[in-house]
Amino acid sequence: MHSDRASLGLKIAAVGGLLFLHLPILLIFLYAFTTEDKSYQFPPPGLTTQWFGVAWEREDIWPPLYLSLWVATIATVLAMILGTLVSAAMARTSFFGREQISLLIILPIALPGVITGMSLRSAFSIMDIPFSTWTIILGHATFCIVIVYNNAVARFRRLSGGILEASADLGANSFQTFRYVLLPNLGTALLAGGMLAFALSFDEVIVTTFTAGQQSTLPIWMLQELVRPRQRPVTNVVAIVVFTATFVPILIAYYLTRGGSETAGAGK
Amino acid sequence: MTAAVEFLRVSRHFGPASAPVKAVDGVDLTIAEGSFFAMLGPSGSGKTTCLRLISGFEKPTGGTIRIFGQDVGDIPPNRRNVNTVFQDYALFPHMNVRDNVGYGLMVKGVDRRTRDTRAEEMLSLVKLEGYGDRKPAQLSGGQRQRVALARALVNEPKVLLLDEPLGALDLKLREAMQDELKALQSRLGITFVFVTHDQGEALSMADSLAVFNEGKIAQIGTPAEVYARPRTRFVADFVGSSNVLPPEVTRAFGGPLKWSSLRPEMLRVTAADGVALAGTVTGIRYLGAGSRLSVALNGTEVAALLPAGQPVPEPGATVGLAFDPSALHVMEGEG
Ligand SMILES: Nc1ncnc2c1ncn2[C@@H]1O[C@H](COP(=O)(O)OP(=O)(O)O)[C@@H](O)[C@H]1O
Ligand SMILES: [Mg+2]
Repeated sequence: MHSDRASLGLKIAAVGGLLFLHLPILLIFLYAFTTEDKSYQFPPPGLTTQWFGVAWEREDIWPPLYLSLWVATIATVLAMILGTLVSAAMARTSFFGREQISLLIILPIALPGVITGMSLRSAFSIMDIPFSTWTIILGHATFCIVIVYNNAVARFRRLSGGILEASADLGANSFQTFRYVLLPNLGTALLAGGMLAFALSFDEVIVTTFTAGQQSTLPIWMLQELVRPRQRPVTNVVAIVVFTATFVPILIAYYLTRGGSETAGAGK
Repeated sequence: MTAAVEFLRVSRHFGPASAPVKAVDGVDLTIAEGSFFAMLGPSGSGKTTCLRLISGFEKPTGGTIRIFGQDVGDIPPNRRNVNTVFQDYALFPHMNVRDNVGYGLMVKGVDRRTRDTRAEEMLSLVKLEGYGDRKPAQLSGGQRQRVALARALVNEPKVLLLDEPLGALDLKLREAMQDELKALQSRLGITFVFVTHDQGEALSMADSLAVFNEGKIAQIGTPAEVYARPRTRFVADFVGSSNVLPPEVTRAFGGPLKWSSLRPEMLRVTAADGVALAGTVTGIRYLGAGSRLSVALNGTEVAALLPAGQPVPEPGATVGLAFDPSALHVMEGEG
């Protein structure tokens, strides 16, 4: 028997699954407000907002935060430029070995981070490149490019049909075609790809561990922080920041790529 | 009568000069202003390339193209007074129907209010009033086709190019749109250049048609001329379902020793005795309005149309074939 409505059992399973996925996140938020700073005891003995102030005062948070923002920004910009160029090339031309190259491009995201990290690390040592912010950025760019590429290539394929010609046919010059047809169709895909890339870079740990020298990005700082039981709720406060910094772009990306885009309509 | 479009020995070859793909090869044609001109031919015969030569998306590798007397060799697509209904419609997915239709006016700098009014007019012309706010994705195939038509007509082109515009529609809708397109064309008086691989469509809609074969024009003329007097075997085969008779059979039918064509509807099926031509029935296809017999005759399959109500012979039976000798059309060329 088929019914359009989910059965009760399925609903319970779905709700259970969602709770399992999301309750831990809620706990992280909760423990940012606990009065107990040594262990995660449940329920929290009391609630306070003091940890936000403490976190603000802590000098050691700022360098990792800046580093993470900097790395994510540069890696995203790099990925947007290179990813768009690659996708334009892949979508518009057909050449021998195109499918294989396409696979090679998306490989970095399919490979386990440890492999990417290891290979980059050995490559850097072979080439005598000292570990620095730039080695982290390069590491992140490898998978950020894939994200942008994936978003853009799908859109390019849709565009490579007749709509650019249709625009010219209706009397538009190249600039108008770029402005009114290409950009609105590609723009949202690029923006979405960029947002996702930023979010991915911002909380990346594995590749960063392999490619960073003595520096810590924010996620690595958090990992180190959790090991020693000192002002633990501060870590939770930072977790909320990380959550916001990654969740908001992902949410925006989701709305940008959902269905047809509404942005930059003709001559609004 | 002015020529809307003229091709003078126009060629478009692709690929290396040593082994070119001759998509269009030495085509001469004249399309009269205000006429409904069809380009008919099998897939790959160069019809789309011809349209793209007119719209300017392809440049000829040889010859001259004139639009209303003007050599358009150096005029880019956006400055030709020609618009296209693309095969896949190519509607702008991010714009609603109204903005799609008004696009041609927008890029000319027409203000929003005027172009919205014009877009609504065009939409009512193609019977899509009230669809302005929809996105192309929310329309059926037939509706998209109408939007593409409205969008191409908004600039009031002198020539409208249509590349297999009805190819993606189902039969019923296709027939309705054929009538509508034809009516629209006579009403607007615009020159339509209509590409199709469907001979029925070309014959029923066109004022004149060109039959394409491998980048060349096999025949050009009115539908009646092309149908009744195919110049080559290819045309006879492709346009309609004519019997193409090799020289020996033509001779047997009382003609010269040349290739000829004979329409199935011109053949009468009679009793086997007392006629010069008799053959064996090898197949019968019921068509509703009659039956189509295949008759093996001196080794050649000949089709004959049997009107409804006549007794249908059994397969394997021997039947006679009679016809009016004037119906036998002897062809000039072979290929
Ligand atoms: N851009 C191109 N590059 C190479 N060959 C092409 C190109 N465009 C068309 N052709 C070739 O030209 C021939 C005619 O194509 P086309 O005009 O599309 O035919 P039709 O529209 O009648 O099906 C085909 O053999 C096709 O492969
Ligand atoms: Mg074609």
